[in-house]
Order: sequence, then C-alpha cells, then structure tokens
Amino acid sequence: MATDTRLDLTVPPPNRPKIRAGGIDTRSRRRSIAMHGLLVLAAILTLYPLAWMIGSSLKPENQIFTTFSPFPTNFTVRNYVTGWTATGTSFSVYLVNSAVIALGAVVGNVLSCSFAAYAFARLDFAFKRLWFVLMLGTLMLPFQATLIPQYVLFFKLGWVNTFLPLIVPQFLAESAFFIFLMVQFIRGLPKELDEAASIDGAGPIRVYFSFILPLMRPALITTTVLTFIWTFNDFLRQLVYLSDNSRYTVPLGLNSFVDKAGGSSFGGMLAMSVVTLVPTIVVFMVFQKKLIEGVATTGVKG
Amino acid sequence: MWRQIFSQDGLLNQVLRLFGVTGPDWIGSPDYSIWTLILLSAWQFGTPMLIFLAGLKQMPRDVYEAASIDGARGLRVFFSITLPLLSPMVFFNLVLETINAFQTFTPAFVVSGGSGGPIDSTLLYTLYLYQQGFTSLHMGYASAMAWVLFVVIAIITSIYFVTSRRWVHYGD
Repeated sequence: MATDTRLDLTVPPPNRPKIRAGGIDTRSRRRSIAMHGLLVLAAILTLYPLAWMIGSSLKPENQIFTTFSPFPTNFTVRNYVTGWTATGTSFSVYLVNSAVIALGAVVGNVLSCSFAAYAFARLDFAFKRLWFVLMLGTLMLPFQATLIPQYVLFFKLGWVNTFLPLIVPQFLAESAFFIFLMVQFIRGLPKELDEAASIDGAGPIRVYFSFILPLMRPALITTTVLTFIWTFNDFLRQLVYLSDNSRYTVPLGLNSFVDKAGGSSFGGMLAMSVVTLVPTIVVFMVFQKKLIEGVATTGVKG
Repeated sequence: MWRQIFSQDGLLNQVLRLFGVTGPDWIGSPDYSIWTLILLSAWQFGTPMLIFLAGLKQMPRDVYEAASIDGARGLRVFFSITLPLLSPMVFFNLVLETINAFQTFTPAFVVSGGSGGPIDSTLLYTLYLYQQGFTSLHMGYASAMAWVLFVVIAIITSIYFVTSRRWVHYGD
C-alpha cells in the first residue's frame, strides 16, 4: 500500500490540541488516567492471590482462613520460624537441592535448545520436516502417557533417586517448547544477515556464534527464566524420581508439610511458600533487566 | 484458595452481595464450574506474556523510524508494523496454548477434587484419562485415549501450520 506523500491541499490542517501549562493536553491526560486506572485494577486482580498468600503467612494460624483481607491484623513471624524445620529436614536442604537442579536444567536447556533451533531454522538436512514434526509431536503427548515409560527407562539405567533424570535430558534438547520458541525467534530474523555473513566467508558455525546468538538474547533470556521457574516449581517429575528426604526439592518439601502436620499447619506451609517465591522473583527481576537492556535493532543497516 | 474464592460463600459472592447481586455457586453448580476453570487457565497469562515481550524486544528500530516519517502513529503502527513483525510469536503462542488447553489436567483435578465436578461438568479429557488409567486401572483404555488425544492435537496443529503461511511473516 503506497503512501501518497505529496502535499494534499484539499485536506484541512490537523487539529492542534490545546496544550496546557504542564505540556500535556486535556484529552491525552484523561486517556492516560483512564489507562492507568484500568492497569491498576488489572494489577490488583492479578496480584490478589499473591497478596493473600504473603499476608496469610504473617497472620497467626487461626486467622488464615477466617479473614479475607490480605492484611494481617496480628502481625507474626512465627510461621516462618516453625515452618523452617517443621518437616524434620531443614528447609535450606530443599532450597539447595532445587537450586542445583534448576541451574543444571537452565544451562542444559539454553545450550542444547539453541543449537537445535538454529539447525531447524537455518540449516538444511535430510528429513528435516519429519524431525520437526516428530519434535512437535513430543509436545502433544499427555504426560500420563510418557510418565511410566520414562520411569522404566531411568530405572533400568539406575538413575532413580538421583538428580540425573531431572538434569541430563535438558542437555539433550528434550524441551520441544524452547526449541520451537527459538525456531520462531530465529525465523523472525532477516535472512539477509546470514547471506551477508556468508558472502564474507563465514561458515554456518561462525554465523551462529557471531550473528544469530547475540541477536537471540531475548529468546535466550526467556528460556532461562522460564526453565528456572518451571524446574523450581516442578512437582510431579521430582516426586516420581526422588525418594530420599535429603534429596527432596522445594515442592516436595512443601508437600510433606501437609502429610506430616496432618493438614493443620497451613501457616508454616504458606510461610515456606513465600520463601520459595523469593529465588524465582529474584531470578525474574535480574533477567528482566537484561531483557530490557537488549538491543532493539537488527544488524542490517540502511 | 481458588475453591475458597469461588464457593457459594466465597469472596467473589461476598463482593457481588455488596452490589445486591446474589451470585451462584461457581464451583458447585454444573452450569458455572467450567467457567471457573476457564478463568483459572486465563489467569496464567504470564508465560505467553513473557514470550511476547521477548518478541517485542527484537523489533528493528529502523522500520518504526520509517513509519513515523510517513506519519503513522499509535494504533496504526501497532496493527501494520508491530503485529505482523510479532506474528511468529503469536503463532507460537497459539499452537502451544492450544496444545496446553487440550492437555489441561491440574485445574480440573484440583477444583473438582479429582471427581470431575458436579455431574461431570469439569470432567476434562485428561482427567477422565487419569481416572481410567490410574484409578480404575483400565490401562489399555487409557493408553488408547492418550493416542486419540495425540492424533486430535496433531491434526489441529497441522491445520495451524498449513494456514499459517497466509498470516505469519518470517524474516526468511
């Protein structure tokens, strides 16, 4: 659709909105207030469950389910103190285990999925479409179908009750979600970049490391954050493969609260839930800053 | 907590009572329980949001500068430039959220307590699969169900892929 840039004298000059002293006109100020109001309301609605959880962890035990306001009337940190050792093993053990697994998973995912994505997006190889379809197919199987065969595989390997089943598959590009994400990302980058690089004599590996990888920063950061959050919060796979209390991770530790305390220790459980939120939020904040700093231009000039 | 908010005397109904409206039992009534599940799933928009954010961060600035020279602003820029450039991410989220929606298990399990809700109104496919496979131990039937689900999702995803050629703009 071509834009006619010649001066059209039949159209009246655009209305100039009245500028008030502050430099903002009335109409856009009203719009700004309305948008801010909507956003604040949406934020309150979305954050209410979180606020309830934090507030309840600071209330005494008997007030948690009787009041709906997230603000504690009798402020107490007793839940945190009792919750830390309530399951018999100190909560720091759980935190360390979770951190180890999450870190391993993040490194594995970022490395392997970016390689696989580059291959799918930019390289040509035999049966490429078939492999792509198979990869997507792994996303479509419900977990109930793969749960038992995977367990049998790891059992035969002798990896049950170790961290290995939770970390090693990530190094082998097991997560089709992130491969597909990065494939979409790389395909959004212009191909002229690759062509310019290869004219200058760069092979595919050089192109990957020097050109594609830096431009993929937002996708890599997203992968890091999501992998960390999901591994940290993953309950089912950790429940299946870990049986020693000393190897338990944070979700399993939280779950054993309900077992051990007979369902009446919600204060401690909520307090520990808030504790488990902290690493996730910290990771998110750190990487969000990196995401915002990301370069918003491609390498193609003019 | 979700059950707390949406039950007959829960928070939502208390808020509605302030406006003089008597709300129904959102979880216990077969007409409304599925909407509770839908809301619960829609609440979890954080991951797609993050992916869109990543997609937005790699937008080339020169296109926007060219557009502003031509006099485009606001909504026009969004619909003509941002959205087409974002279309690979839109496609990704579309495919993955559809696959996720078909495989939804946890909300149904938790909200209905594993039973499938009042008169099977929250009995999602994967919940039924779980009941057949792990509660009634009809392993063969459950496996067959898993394969059927796989085929259905595969067909829908391939439809997405085939029709994506018209509206998804890649750089290559």
